[in-house]
Amino acid sequence: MSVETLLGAIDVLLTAETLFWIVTGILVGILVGALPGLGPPLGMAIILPLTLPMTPENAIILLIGVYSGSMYGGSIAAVLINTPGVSSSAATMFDGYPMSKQGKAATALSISATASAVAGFFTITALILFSPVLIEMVLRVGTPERFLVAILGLAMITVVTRGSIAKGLLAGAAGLLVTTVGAAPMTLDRRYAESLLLYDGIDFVAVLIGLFAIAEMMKLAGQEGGIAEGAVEIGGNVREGAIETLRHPVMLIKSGLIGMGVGAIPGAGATVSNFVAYSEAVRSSDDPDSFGSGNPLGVMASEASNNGTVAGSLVPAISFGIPGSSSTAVLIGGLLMHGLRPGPSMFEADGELMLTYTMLLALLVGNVIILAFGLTMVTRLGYLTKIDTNYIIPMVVVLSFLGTYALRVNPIDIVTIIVFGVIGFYMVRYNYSVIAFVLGVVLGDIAEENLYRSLQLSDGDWAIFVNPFEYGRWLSPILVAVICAILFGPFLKGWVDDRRSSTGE
Amino acid sequence: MGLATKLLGERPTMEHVLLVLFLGVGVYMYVGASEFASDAATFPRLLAGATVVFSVLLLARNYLPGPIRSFVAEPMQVLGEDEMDATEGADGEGSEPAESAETGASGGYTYDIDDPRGPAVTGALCVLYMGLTFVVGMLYATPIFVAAYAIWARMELPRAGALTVLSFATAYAFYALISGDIAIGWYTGWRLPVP
Repeated sequence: MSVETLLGAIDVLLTAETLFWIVTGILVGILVGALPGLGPPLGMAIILPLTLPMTPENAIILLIGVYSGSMYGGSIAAVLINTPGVSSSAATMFDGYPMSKQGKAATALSISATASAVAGFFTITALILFSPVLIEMVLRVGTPERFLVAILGLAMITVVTRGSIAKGLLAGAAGLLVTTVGAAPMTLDRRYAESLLLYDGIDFVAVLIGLFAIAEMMKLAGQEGGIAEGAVEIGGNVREGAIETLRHPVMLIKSGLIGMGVGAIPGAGATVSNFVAYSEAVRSSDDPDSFGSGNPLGVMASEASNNGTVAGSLVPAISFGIPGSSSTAVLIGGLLMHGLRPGPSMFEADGELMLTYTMLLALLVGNVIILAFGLTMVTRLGYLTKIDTNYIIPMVVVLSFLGTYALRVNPIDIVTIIVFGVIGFYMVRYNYSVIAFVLGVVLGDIAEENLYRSLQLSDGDWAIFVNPFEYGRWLSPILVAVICAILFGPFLKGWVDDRRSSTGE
Repeated sequence: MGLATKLLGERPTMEHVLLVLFLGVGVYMYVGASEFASDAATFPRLLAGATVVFSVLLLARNYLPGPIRSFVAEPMQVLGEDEMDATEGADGEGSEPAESAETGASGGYTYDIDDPRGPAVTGALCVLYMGLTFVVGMLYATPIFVAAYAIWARMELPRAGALTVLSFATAYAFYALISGDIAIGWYTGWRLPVP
């Protein structure tokens, strides 16, 4: 670890401006997370265009604050009205809402805040300590491997998320295809730019806003419920919840690490980790039957894991530009928008290492803010669940349109958010992986650039990806084998099992 | 020909429309890539080809032989979510998605459609908003869009008025701080008086 760089990052972090953006990001995130139907990708996508005038450090810190804050914010609606503000708080409902009905809403919310903050703090610290090893690994990966890692991320997303693999691959290919409009990254040839307005390509920020904001608002417009009918009674004891949480350090660390591990898998994200951690809490409990009827450990496990996911999902995002979730896809969009390329440069002392450390340290501070806010504002959080979606929908659409159009004043961007909003709406409806599509959109230029460079290295020979004897790159064929195993392994296993059962029984 | 006839005989759903859109775009971009220099054509041709192949496979999934059908139509998850109410399976002919609660991986938490008019009206109003942006500029298109939405949502008049004013204030803040061009109709060049 470069101590000088780390100290430099602390200097940046302790400026009033940076601290202001951390607090703002966390508070916006809690608000976005608590409002049913919104969520971190949407909140981050809307804020993304507004960060353009900001410095890259502050822009990324704001986005990451929203991400982290919304992970906690999602538990507010889950506990108070049995509707998770974000999908990553779905398991929180199982015990959070029963606690609320027993008059212990404040206890549940303070457990959520404490578990979120402690697990978030622990996992980010672990990531900072692990960073030298991570840096070493990232810097060893060459151009062909970076292309293959992008494909590996896509392959994993198609398998991890729901729906058929073919649907995931189609979504990923279509997302990558979007990035081929406009100038080619290396040769600068103009492609598919029949109109002058398309010369700069399809703006990925507009695509993200379309997929996450417009599509979500269309979806929300067709839904009823999720908003509290009347006043939510917030009983219970804040201090008791915090102390109860701190009595279970093993549970917090275990759930946080589950979140971190699962979060590092592209496409899995907090939605999956939160159920995995909850299941593990039930499995390891002496009283598994008490889960689902207001066991505080259920809230603890779920909330510790989803904040742990934030640290995990940053690993593939910063290292290779592969988003572990929709939220990190938007975060990568933010990096690219501010001229920062995920990859080795994010870990080089003369590159962006200071920004990387600043980002991680900002998350540490963010977790302290989550704790402070969660424990002091618990009794007032009920207001957030009473905001009618009919006020949210038009304002989100307005912010999406204004943010997108004001950036470039290019009418194509407005067409883009509507077209991709509609496409995103139907993709989610028919189980096509939006994350795979977004991965394609965010990763397209990076993937094409690395493919182009790889083929330049090999004089156009595709064997560079599979022939280690000629090209001396042993990681490439291993990655190809892993990709094939991920995509076809489950089907081969099924086919072998069928054969065995038909011949042996 | 038999397969094409069967496909055309299916009851069309919006998923068919989505797949045909992907297929059309894929074919167009594959053919279009032939006009580029070879270095610039490799990547789009590869992806357009993949888009065409997967679109065709998914359109024809109900008529594929066993192993290919399972690859194309059956969900496969590395991280099983038994507790999560997964709803998908092999798609039936012309099937609509089950309208039950589910936890999606795309940021949403449920996907019940209680009122199918909601998404349609929201989409239509977005198109209206875009049209007005091109004619009178976004500064004035914004409150018109919000007012139209408030009328559709049957919002109480004082609240609808407050929301419309708030939206105009938001647009004005963008006009004053980020870009004065949002007050100009992009297509017409009209610039209405600004307060």
